[in-house]
Amino acid sequence: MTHVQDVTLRSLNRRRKAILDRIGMSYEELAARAAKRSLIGDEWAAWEEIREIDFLRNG
Amino acid sequence: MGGDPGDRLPPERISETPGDLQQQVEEFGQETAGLLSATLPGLPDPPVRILRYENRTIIGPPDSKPLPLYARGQHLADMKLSVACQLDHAGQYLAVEESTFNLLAVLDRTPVFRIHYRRESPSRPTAHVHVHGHRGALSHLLSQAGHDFPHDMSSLHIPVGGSRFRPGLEDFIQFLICECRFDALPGWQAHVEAGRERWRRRQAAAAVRDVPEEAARVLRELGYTVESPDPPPDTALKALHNW
Repeated sequence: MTHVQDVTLRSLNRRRKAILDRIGMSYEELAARAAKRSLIGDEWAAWEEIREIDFLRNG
Repeated sequence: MGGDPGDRLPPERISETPGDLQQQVEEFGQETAGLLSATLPGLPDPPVRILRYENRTIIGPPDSKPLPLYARGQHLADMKLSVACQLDHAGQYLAVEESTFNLLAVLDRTPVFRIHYRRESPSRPTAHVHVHGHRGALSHLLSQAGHDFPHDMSSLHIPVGGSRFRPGLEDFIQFLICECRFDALPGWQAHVEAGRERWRRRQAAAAVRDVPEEAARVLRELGYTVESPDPPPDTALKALHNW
């Protein structure tokens, strides 16, 4: 069964920070790599999850 | 996402029944989970989770980990699935804002092939495919044409039918099974076809809302009695013009 899991802004922000810490980059650095089409390896997954979080936070 | 509300593409509806966000998104999540579980082997149970914040949701794999894909029993690739949904402006129907279906190689954790949809995509095709490959002749011609990323084939957004006629998850799953030869569960095809029928009926309903007078004309040709309201509803030109 697939249930809806409500998340808080705080948990989204915490998750966002953990992703950036894991790859050792700021959001701006990661976004710049995405814009230059230079993402490699785990940066892809990190960028896509950050975008999901930002959709939930900001629409 | 966002943009001028008056300039937005009319949303498609995930459900034809208005209801609360939770009910609509749970039904959609169940459909997605059921399709995945019935077609691809070795997936987690359930294969998707739904995250919600305010009136927005993301449907994707549990813990954001991509789903494993097997070929002859060997874990060779992963599939990333993400569907971002939001209630429409009237607050009644759930609409897809963005979706991504990715095929990723286990070898380098990088996409091989992506199908991407963004409802509000002013400078790119709303629905497009990225192919992460190499072709010298393509790089050469893009370079000569002054393209910003001539050596990166994946920088091209190959249009695939716009908002209404884009490929669904069922098409991606069948592509993985039939074209890429990933392992499938027995009876997968019936589930893909049932899901595709559901998807295309919804898209057809959205297309009718885009061009109601055209729909009425065709129905009259088929023998239906259809009366237009006065004034007739507007044609959603943006939906027709968007690439």
